[in-house]
Amino acid sequence: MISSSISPMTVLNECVNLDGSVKPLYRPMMDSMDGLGMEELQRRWLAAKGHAARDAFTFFLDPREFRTVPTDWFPRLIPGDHWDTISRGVAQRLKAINHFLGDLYCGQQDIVPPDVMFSCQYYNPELQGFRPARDTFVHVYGIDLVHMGEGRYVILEDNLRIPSGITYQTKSVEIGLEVMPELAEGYDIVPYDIQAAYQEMFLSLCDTDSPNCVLLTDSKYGSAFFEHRYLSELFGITLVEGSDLYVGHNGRVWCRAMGGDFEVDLIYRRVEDLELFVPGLTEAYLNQQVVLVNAMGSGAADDKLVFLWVPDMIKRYMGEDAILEQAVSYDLRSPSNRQFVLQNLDKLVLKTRQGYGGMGVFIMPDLGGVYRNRLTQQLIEQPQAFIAQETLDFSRHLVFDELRGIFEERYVDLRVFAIQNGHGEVTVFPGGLTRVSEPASRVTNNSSGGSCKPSWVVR
Amino acid sequence: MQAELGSPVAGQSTPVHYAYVARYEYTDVVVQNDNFFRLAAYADQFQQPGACEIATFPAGTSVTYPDRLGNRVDRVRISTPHEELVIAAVGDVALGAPGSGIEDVPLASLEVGLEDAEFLTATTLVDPDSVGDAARRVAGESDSVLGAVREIIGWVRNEVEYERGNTSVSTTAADVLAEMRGVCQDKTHLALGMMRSLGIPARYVSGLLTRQPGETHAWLEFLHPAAGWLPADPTKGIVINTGSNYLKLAVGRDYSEVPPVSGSFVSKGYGLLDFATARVFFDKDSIGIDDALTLMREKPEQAR
Repeated sequence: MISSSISPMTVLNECVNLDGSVKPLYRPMMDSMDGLGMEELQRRWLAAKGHAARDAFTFFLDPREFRTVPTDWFPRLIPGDHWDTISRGVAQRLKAINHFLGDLYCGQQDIVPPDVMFSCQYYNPELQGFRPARDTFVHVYGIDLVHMGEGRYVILEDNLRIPSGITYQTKSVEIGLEVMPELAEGYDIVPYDIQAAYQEMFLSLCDTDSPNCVLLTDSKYGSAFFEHRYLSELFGITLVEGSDLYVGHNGRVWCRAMGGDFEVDLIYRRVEDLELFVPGLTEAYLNQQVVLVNAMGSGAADDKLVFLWVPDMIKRYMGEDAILEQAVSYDLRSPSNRQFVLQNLDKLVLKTRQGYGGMGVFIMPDLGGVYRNRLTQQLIEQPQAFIAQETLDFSRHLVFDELRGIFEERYVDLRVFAIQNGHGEVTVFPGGLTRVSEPASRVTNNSSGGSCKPSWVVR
Repeated sequence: MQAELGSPVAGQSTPVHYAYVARYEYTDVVVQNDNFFRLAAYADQFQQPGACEIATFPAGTSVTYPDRLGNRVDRVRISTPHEELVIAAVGDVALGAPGSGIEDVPLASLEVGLEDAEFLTATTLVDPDSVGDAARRVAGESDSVLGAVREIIGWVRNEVEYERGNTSVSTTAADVLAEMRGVCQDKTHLALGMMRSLGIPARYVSGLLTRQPGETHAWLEFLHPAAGWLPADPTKGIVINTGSNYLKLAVGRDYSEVPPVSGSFVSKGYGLLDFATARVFFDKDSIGIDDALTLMREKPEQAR
């Protein structure tokens, strides 16, 4: 029996009780796994890996090597009522942030202090007075949550520039179900269609019924190239690098193509420094000649320090309290916060203001002495470069080690993706991407060595 | 912390105009340039700024805001491709200075509140611990704030050789103590660290010497428990009595927080400061960007 090999786990394990017994939600799945048996399960795990490799479900590692995305195929289940809260909270937050960005560039925002806002790397003065197509700044939104147990989810950060990973969400579910459909027996998995939602979103932002859309990738050697290629194929849009695009004499953006260059209406950009990739793009954009997804300047709201004011944005623009709580965070511009943080450093997480992808995140309780001293020094020297956040003891899940045939406990987080179209309608894709930490770590980012896990919303 | 001992401000204030110009060259075309300028006069108890105008060539789009220490920052973003950038700033300001008669207080009586604690601790370029021994040696018997400040300022002025070319924007106070040479910025960092190590809050000032046209200058301010922030210049050896010779642009915990020009650009090449100069006019009625651009003529021919 596979389920009998599970050892007692910690209090915050989502699928197993303290005594090692399986929680009711996971019982049908465990029964299916018992039904398959250890040998078959190991065979299926291997088959899933092969499947992923054939589908080029990979990420880029170094100049010669692509690796399949490390995946644990044992699914995570998110109960429908949990999901309802997450989904409403994410939509509320996305709308509030979008409203804020409109006020920041075209109105008079007085929520975030000027020295914070205008010193932000991704605030762009050139966008003052510029209204993006349909007043939509954030089209694709990624939000990182952790589960504190009993349906309480806490936000760690927002990703508004070029949030990546939705392919990992859909692909891990797809491959998992294909290779071991038995695991889904007894569950009603909430379906969704990212293809239709994205295509509808692109269309809603353009003035023509058949817009020419392209996906701009940094390069085929970028770590997310699989995702860029996969999404461009799925959405039926052209995958381009910077050198494929140019600004023509008519002020429009053009794409070089074999059958003749064509004008581009919308760029789903997966790069940040647009001007470096396509000189003249800013001007064309400011002249409303091309739509950018996400809009230029959106990054001003995913600065880690600006994060602190998002609950105020929700209150102001939505007239509601935030549905989802966010990790308690400390603004180190304040002398009393600085003092508090220095005195409680071993209980906190430090984040650099403009880091992303797990970079610039330092969990002080898990950090060795040398690093801790160096960081403390940096914090004293440049407090404004950081924010501090409470360290959360969030939920764990099981990963199946198919070689040894045992389950291990790991931390998991949840990145949820949502899109907003030009009519202000938000779609939150059920399930999200569960990221699994390395052993003995709480950092769950793929660029930091973690793996992912299919996540199902079940009713 | 304002004056409680009667006004320490000298009677008169002197209205002046100032101009600053800088030219940067790049080894390849720059497609985007995002700059932060701290070139407007600082507003404090001794100095009242009037209008300030800042222009770049090519032109960009700007936003103006106060940073957390009260410096006016002009952020200018330029998306017109360029291989050189000229920055020009002009402003009006009424210069005053602390008067005499500021009472000395015992070092032991200093109580530094939470707000000012950040001017005692280590910053990127100034670690007080690294220069603490020197500070105690130099301050010697002085057990008062003004006494210690005078000893440190006099010692740094006389013992640290003024020498160009051997230090950079990343030279630390400890480096200066080891080498015992540097420019105004280096002397300021060393003196800042020494004061901090004795428990006197001290901060970096970037500005202009009004009667010495040319480069920007650096000096410091120390916190007097009654009179507030008071100036001292370890390059010239002046304590408090700065008169109308100093025009303050910005304050920070050290240079790294308040360079007159900072920022980032997108290019395949790198950038070099080609020329920068400043001047203060005591006799002009008004000033405009053209007056700053005229200063470009002062650039030495051979450097071209």
